[in-house]
Amino acid sequence: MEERIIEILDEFVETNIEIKPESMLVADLGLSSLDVINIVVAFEEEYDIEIPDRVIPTFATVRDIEDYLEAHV
Amino acid sequence: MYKLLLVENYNDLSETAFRRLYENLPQERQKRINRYRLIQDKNAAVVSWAMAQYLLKKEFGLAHWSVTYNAYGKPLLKDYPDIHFNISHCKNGCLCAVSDQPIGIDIQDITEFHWSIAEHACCFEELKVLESVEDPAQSFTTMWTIKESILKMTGYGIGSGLKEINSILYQSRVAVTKKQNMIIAVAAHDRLEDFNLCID
Repeated sequence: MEERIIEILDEFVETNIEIKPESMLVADLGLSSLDVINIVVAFEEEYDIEIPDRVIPTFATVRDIEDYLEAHV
Repeated sequence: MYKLLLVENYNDLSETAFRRLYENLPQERQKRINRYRLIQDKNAAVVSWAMAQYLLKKEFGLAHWSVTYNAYGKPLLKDYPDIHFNISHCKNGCLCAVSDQPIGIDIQDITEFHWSIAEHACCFEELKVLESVEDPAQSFTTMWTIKESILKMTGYGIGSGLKEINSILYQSRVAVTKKQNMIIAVAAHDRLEDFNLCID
């Protein structure tokens, strides 16, 4: 799952920075709040789930997203 | 009372100017800026916080202040509960506001419109509007900035629910303007009576 998560994130990250599980969405990948919503929607479509807004602020790193998806997919 | 400052093209900041602004920031802020990997994020942070320094000193005489964060991550002035500030940035602009009442601001580039994003963020009434407008990209960006500015003003953040905020109902409380390809929204705690947001 990690590989696919990074592939999806890569579509939204505009630089050549390597995306790692410990990458911070804002500090490392330069994502804005609207970018994060775009990513959430991409994961919802990919895994056919609904990610509630209340959990979005808990997504600080790539690993946080991975943990959430592993628990809910 | 509120004052708003916009700096465009902040990525044109020279290394010398960056260093000067950076060195004027508190160490705690410098440490946070050091965590950013992308130069544009470092520039945005340095410029935004330098703008806050400038406005807080100019409008409220605050030369020294520190920041604390509420439970949802909103930065607040530690020892001055009656003075408020807020910052935002997008690709081409940094925005800062100070006020004697809670204030929330957002600046966003108008980007490609996607229905899937709108369906995630917008309520039924907003989606109906987006169906009927000629330029859904601009309309959605406006709705988004209104939502963000309200969520930043209240301090609850995105986690409290984007769809819960119907931007159409907040139009009298949020001032919105377009500057080049950017939408700017300013939400104040009180109604913004007779308020025209004009940035030259």
